[in-house]
Amino acid sequence: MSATQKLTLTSSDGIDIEVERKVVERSVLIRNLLEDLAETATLEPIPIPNVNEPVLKKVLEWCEHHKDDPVSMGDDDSDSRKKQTDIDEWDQKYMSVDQEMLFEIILAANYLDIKALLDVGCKTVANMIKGKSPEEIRKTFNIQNDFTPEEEEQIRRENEWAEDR
Amino acid sequence: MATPHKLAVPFPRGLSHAREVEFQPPTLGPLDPKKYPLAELSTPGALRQFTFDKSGQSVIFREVISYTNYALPLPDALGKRSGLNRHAHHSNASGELPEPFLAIAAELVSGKRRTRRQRRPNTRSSRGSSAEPSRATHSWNTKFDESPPATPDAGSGVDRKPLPKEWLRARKVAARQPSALSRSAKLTSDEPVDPILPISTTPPLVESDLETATTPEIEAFVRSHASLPSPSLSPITAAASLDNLSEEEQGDIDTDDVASIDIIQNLPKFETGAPEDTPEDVRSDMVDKIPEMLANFDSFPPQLQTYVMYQLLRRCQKPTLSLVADMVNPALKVDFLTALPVEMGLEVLKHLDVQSMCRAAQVSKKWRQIVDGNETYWRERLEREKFIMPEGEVERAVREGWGWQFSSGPNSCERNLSPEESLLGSFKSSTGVVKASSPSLRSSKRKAAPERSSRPAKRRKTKSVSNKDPEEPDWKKLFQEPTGPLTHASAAALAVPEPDVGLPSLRQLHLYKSLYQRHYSIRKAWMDPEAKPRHFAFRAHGRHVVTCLQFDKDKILTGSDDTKINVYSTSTGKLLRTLVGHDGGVWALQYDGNTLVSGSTDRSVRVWDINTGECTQVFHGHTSTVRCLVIVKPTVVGHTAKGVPIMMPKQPLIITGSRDSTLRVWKLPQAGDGMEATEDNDQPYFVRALNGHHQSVRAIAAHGDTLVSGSYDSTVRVWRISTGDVLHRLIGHTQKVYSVVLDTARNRCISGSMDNLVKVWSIETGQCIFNLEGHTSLVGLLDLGHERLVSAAADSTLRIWDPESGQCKGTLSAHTGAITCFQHDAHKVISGSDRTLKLWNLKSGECVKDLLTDLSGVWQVRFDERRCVAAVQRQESTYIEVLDFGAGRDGVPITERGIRKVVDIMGKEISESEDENEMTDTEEEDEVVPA
Repeated sequence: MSATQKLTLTSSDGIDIEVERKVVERSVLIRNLLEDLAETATLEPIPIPNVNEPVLKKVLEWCEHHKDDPVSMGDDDSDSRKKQTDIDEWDQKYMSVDQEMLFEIILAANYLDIKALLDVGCKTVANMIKGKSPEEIRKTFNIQNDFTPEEEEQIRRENEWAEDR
Repeated sequence: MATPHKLAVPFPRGLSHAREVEFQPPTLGPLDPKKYPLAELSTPGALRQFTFDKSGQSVIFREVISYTNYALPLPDALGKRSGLNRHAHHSNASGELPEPFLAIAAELVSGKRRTRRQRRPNTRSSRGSSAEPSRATHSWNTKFDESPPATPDAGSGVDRKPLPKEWLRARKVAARQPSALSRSAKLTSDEPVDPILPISTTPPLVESDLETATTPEIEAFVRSHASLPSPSLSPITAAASLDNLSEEEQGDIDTDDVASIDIIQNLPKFETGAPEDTPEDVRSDMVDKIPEMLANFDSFPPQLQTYVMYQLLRRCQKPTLSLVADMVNPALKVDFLTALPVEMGLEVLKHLDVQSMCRAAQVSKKWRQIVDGNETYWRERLEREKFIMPEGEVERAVREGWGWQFSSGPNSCERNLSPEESLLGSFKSSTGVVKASSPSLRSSKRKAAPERSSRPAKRRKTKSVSNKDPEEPDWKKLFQEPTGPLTHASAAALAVPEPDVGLPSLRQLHLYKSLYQRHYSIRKAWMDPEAKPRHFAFRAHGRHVVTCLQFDKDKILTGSDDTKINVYSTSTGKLLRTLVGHDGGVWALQYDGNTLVSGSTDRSVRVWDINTGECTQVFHGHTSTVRCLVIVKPTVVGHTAKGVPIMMPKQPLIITGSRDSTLRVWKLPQAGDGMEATEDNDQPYFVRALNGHHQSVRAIAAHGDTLVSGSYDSTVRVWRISTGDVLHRLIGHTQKVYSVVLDTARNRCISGSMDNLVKVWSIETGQCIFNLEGHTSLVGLLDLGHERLVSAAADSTLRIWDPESGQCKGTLSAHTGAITCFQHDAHKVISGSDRTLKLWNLKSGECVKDLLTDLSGVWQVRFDERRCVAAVQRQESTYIEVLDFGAGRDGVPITERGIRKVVDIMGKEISESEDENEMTDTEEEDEVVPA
């Protein structure tokens, strides 16, 4: 059961990916699974039914980089850590992917229970919203403005108190 | 495991069941990279070899050469027929474009891939022979010149009518056999490959022509793919449209789709090149080819579509590419908030600031619903920004339907929408001062709040006592459960089920956002120089000095050197009661809950029940004036090894400091504990005396088990309360110490002295860490909090310090006399001096405004989130002045605000002349009010 032991994951599209145990243990889902499994069972490929190969590879890339990070225990995320939208340089680069991939990474991080990756993903999306006007946000995410002009005016007035900060 | 789409798995060569198809893409000539940004790309690795499934059979696609712009076919491919195996594509048209396809298109167009792979052409060209590029260029030039006459003045003598079909056919042959073509080109040098083709020496086209011409083709292409599958584009229909070609040619087209794309590239040149004199049938002939081409494309498996699309993109000019980018990129965007599961959407929103949230709420209906309905976010915001919600405010917000409301504009407020309010509106209006003075409000739903607070509050109390009250509304039952913000919102929906607010289509509950807006607006009103607080004042303590003042949302307590302690209503100014008992001036007081402790020049400490006005205990022991006192409540000071919190002190204590140079520690009497003095123990509450100072104890501060005292003997002492031990004698000041504060976060204490210095001491070592220099006179007052230390001096300035570094962050100078009192929070400082009460911006150090002017003295000032209460002297009389910056949010109209109103001891507004007479009345009245 050494950390360098190799495991095989099978993506939802049936591709086998070999990965170091320590790397894949960033996923709480898999860590718990491995703890429950007998030694021999880990020789079998572990199916990851919700994540396809490109996304799984991308997620494992993150796990590889962060494999030596201290494992956070439980949900002790302090307020300060949770709220700040600073993302370290490597993660920022890692997250410069198209929105579809970002979306898939967030879903995969949630499914695999990789809290820190989910956090980085959510922060990345938050940073795409921050400081933008409603119209700029719509453009960023290709969202249709489904308000009537009348509704839009009411909503603008509803929220104008937050503008002159 | 054995899924039919093992796309990315490299298929081992030579597996019996896998067919291999090798394809040699036609060479692409020297296209201007400024116009054709993707032309020079070499095929991405993933596209060079892939496997797809055709009628249950795996087909391996392999690009034989990875060409660069000038690349020649590889030797082994020379003899082979390029193009796909004929059997490879008789299958159903594939459905919609797969996502990866669009992704690659977007990536190509947006240029990401280009930069990533820029290195490749270089390495390749350096590897190849130097002669090759020029020859290849040449061969292309030949091809290029094959282009049909593009401008009317070219190819004058040639009959153009039969040209397109001929040309197309020839081009197909040429394109299908690029290797042959390039070989022949090499051989034939400048001569045209096919004599049928006219030679045009004119430059291709002006760019603008191309732009406009290319667009419709691609647009049609993209549009038709956006709505695939389309019946008219089915392979059968497409095949039928090829009736003007021989069967062999059909086969050619069928098997040579990729190469034939070259034709499309050139098609526009016909149309735009000679629009006037190109016969109609020629153009329609070209248009006829589109279904055929699309049909072929449709029949490809996704992987092949990706490959073909890649080849197409390389051949596109910038305008076409930007059209593709405009269409493709938005399609690949993700509306995260809508697409993610709700709880993950909330995870995203957690990271947003309030302004971004309010903008996000305006994006779309769905976004508004998620953002405004995110009760947890808005409640956490309130807590994070240290807004203090008065007791019962959430319940009031629920009852009055604040969660439905959105107010805008400078006079916005929270209205009472509760159904009972609209029924009983006029009935209730008999109570309360504001309503009486503003009859215009009587019949409307816009009810001023102050008058409401008394009645419903009482009723609430009785209700909460009897939970099973059958008449209790449903929302209240819900509210009383141990609840979070979402339950509060549910209760709010029940309490006011049919609000009449705004557009019905936008009706949505947002309880905590409304609460946040309310508190945010009140906080902002303080700093707005134009803000109009509700302002009332009343006479107090005759002409005597108000030595101490403490207030909350219900009551204001003032201690005076007239020996009395008065209790006033915070909302009306009405004198509720006077606590009489001290024989000398009161110089120190503090209350906790309903228990008040006071110290006097009569050397006694008294404990009072505020509600009844009764003095419950008198502590004797000090032999001179009790000058300062503090109530110390048990707080967590640490944890045991097992994680059990350690509380100190064990029970609430009173600590008093006196001019007799001692401090005394007392137990705080609890309501109804009835501990009476007995014969053996005449001081049951007395714990111990702390001796050591040589002169008057002027200031004390305590927390947990630590007590700090400052004395006129110029020293500061640190005591352990539980044992009475002196931990440190802090020696350094050269004059009387006037103020001390504890910095529990850093385990330090800070003292201000008549020697003009502020000293920061370590409680651990007893060393002086910093001397805060700058004041030029007695530093009488210190206030620590919100990560700022503020000192006030007789030099008429206040200074702001960083408690961590001791750095001076600012000097507040505008007063003209010694600072007599002040308080600060994270945003502001309010200070009193000889003539004015000033409000300062803590961050900028600027004076925002004078809250009170024309005074002859300011004795005390305190403020909370919405109110500022000051004890001042005007001419010869003492007044308590109340400024309420939250009154507007409670619906007090602007006409009622911003004007100083004087009220009598009943809280009733009186005129100036009545106020003059009040002077004597009040003094008399004070005497007769029973204790």
